[in-house]
Amino acid sequence: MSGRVAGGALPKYRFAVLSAVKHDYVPRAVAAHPRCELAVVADDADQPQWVHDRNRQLAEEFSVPYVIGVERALEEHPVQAAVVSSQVQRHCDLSIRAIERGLHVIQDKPMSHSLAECDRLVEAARRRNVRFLMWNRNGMPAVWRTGRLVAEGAIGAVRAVHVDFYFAKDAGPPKSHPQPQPIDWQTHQIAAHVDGSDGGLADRPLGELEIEGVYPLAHLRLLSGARVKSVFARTARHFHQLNADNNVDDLGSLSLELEDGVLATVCVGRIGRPSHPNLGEIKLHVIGEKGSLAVNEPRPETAIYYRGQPAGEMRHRRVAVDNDHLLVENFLSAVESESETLLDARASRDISATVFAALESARLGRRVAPA
Amino acid sequence: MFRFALVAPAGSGESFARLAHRLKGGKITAVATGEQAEAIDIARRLEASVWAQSPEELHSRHDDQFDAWLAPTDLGLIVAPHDNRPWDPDPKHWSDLAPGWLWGHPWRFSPAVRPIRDALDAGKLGPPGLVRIHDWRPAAHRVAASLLAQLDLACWLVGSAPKLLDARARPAGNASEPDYIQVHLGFTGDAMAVIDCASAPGQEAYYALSVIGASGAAHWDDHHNRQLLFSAEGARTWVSDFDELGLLAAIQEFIDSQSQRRPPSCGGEQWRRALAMYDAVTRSLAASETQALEVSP
Repeated sequence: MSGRVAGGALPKYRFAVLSAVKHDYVPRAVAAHPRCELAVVADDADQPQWVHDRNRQLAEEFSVPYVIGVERALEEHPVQAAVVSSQVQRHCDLSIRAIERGLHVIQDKPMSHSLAECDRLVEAARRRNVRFLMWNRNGMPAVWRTGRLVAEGAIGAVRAVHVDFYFAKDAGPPKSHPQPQPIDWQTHQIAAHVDGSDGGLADRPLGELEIEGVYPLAHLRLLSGARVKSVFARTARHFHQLNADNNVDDLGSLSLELEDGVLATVCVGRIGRPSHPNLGEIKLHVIGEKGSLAVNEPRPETAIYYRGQPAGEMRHRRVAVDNDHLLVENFLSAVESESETLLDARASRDISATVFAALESARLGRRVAPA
Repeated sequence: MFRFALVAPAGSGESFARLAHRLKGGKITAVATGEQAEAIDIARRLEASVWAQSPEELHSRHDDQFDAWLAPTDLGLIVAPHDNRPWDPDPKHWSDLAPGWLWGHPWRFSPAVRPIRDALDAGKLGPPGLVRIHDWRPAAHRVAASLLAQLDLACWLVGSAPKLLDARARPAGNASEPDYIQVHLGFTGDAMAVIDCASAPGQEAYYALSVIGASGAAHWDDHHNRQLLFSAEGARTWVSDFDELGLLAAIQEFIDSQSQRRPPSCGGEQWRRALAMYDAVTRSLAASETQALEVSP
C-alpha cells in the first residue's frame, strides 16, 4: 500500500531587512531558517554613509538588492515580514512603517528608548493584527526547558523568580583607566560591530539595563507570565570607562513585585572579560509552591582547554544553541496560527516600561511603578 | 588554655566532639545537653571534666570549670566569656553585656566564603559592586534567622553599611511569619546587594553567593558544586559538607581574639548592625516602602 499526502511544501516567507546596522545576527537568523528568505535590504536616504555601507554589505552577501528608501523597497519587493535591526532610536519607527503595510515584524532589542514609541508600535500591531517578535534568549535550551517545566506545573505555582545575567564582555578600557578624551558613545558602538557587542548603538548613550535588560526580563516574563507592578533598583558605572564617561550604568539590580503576588529579582552587569572564563554567569532561580529550580542558562557546554590557548578564547562552548531557529519558528507559528509570539509587542513594551521605571527608581532611591 | 562550656542542643554534640581536639589554645571542659546519656557520652569523648543536663546547672554548680560559653543557636554560634554570667541563647543579651563575645554565624567563617574575602582583601576583585545571595533552606527553617547572617555577610563583603534598604516578602500560607524574604541594599558609593532567603520545598538547602567586583568576580554556588548519585530510584545529588570547618574557624577566632586582647571579628558591633538592618526590613515590609538607613559602618 502506498499513497500521497494531501497538501504540499510549507509556505516560505520573504523578509525585508529594514536596516541592519547592528546585531546583524538577527537578519542572519531569519535567513538561516529553511522557511525564510531575505528578499531585500532597505533603509532611509537620510542615513549616514556608514549605515548604507553596512546595509549594502549584507545585501551583497545574500545576493539581494539594497534599496535606499524603505517605502519604495516595500512597494517593489513583495514580502510578508520585515526584520528590523537599526539604531535603537529608529527601531519602532521602522517596525511601525512595516506594520502599517500589513507586515509581520521581527525586531532587535531593546524595543525603543522611548515608551511613547513602544506604545505607538503596540497600537499599530493591534490595529493591523500582525505578529511582532522582539529578539530575546528565551529559546536558549535551558531556558526553553525551564519554561516548559514551569508551564507543566513541575514546581507548582511560581512564588519567586531570580535572574542573574552577568556577561563577561568588555566595553573598552576599564573604568580605572581614564582616557585623554571622554570616549564617544556612538563612535565606540559603531566600532563594536565587529564582535556583535554594538547593542547600544543609538543617538544617546544607553546603560546595560536598557541594552541587555530585556533578556533577563524576558526570562522573567516567560517563567511568571505576570506583569511588573513595582520595581526598586540600584545602578552603577562600575566597570568601564565608556559607561563612566557617558554616565550610563554597566551594573544594575532590580527587586520586583509582579502581579499575582510573585516576587522577583534581576541582576544585570557587563562585568568585563577577566571576570569569567566564558560568556558569563547567567542563572535562573525559580521557587514554586511544590519545588524549586536552579538553572544554568549557558549549559550544556563542551569544555575545550589546550596549550597556547589565547587568553580571550572561551573555554566552554555552548552546545545545542538553537535560540535563533526556535525564535524564528515561534514567529512563523504565531503568524500562521494568529497567536502571540514568545515576546510580543505588548510584553516587549511592558519590559521597556519596567526598565524605565528601574532607572527612575535608581535615581530617586525608592520603589517605582512602571507606566 | 581557654576552657569552654558547650551548650549543645540534642544531637549537635557530635560535631563538636569531632572538631574539639583541633582547637589551638582551647578545650571544651564542660558539656550541657538535655539528654543525660548524650551529655555523658559527649563529655567522655571530649574528655570534659563535667557534664550537666542544663546550662543553669553548669553555671550554678560548675562555674569554676569553664571560662566561656559555646553554643550553636538558630542565629549562629555564640561564644561568650562566662564572667559569672548565666547562659542566654539571645545574642541581644551578650550584645548588651559582653563586648568580647563572638557571633559565629557560619558564613563569616565558611571555607567557601573565606577565599572570596581574601580575594577582596588582596584587591584581586577590585571594589565590590554587587553581592548576590540565594539562601534556601528546608521548609521548617525560619527565614528570619538566615537573613540576619546574610545581611551581615553582605556588609562584610562590601565593607560598609547600606544607606537604602528595600524588602519584600511572601507569607507561608496562613502563617504570620514570611517564608520568603528578598532584601535589596544600596550602599554609599555604588555597591549594591540582593539577598533572597526562603524556606523552599524539599529537604535540602541551597546556597549561592556571587561577589562582582570592578576587576573580577567570585562565585560560590551549590549548583556548581553538586555531585551525582545514580541509582534505581534515579539521580540524586549532594554537596560535600564542611560546616564543621566553619565552626572550628569561628571558635578558633574567639580563642585568638582573647589571646590577642582584641574584639572578635564578628561580635556585638556586627550583630547590632545586622539587627538594625533587620528592623529596617520589618519596617519596609510593613510600609511596603524603601527605607533610608543610618547604620554605623
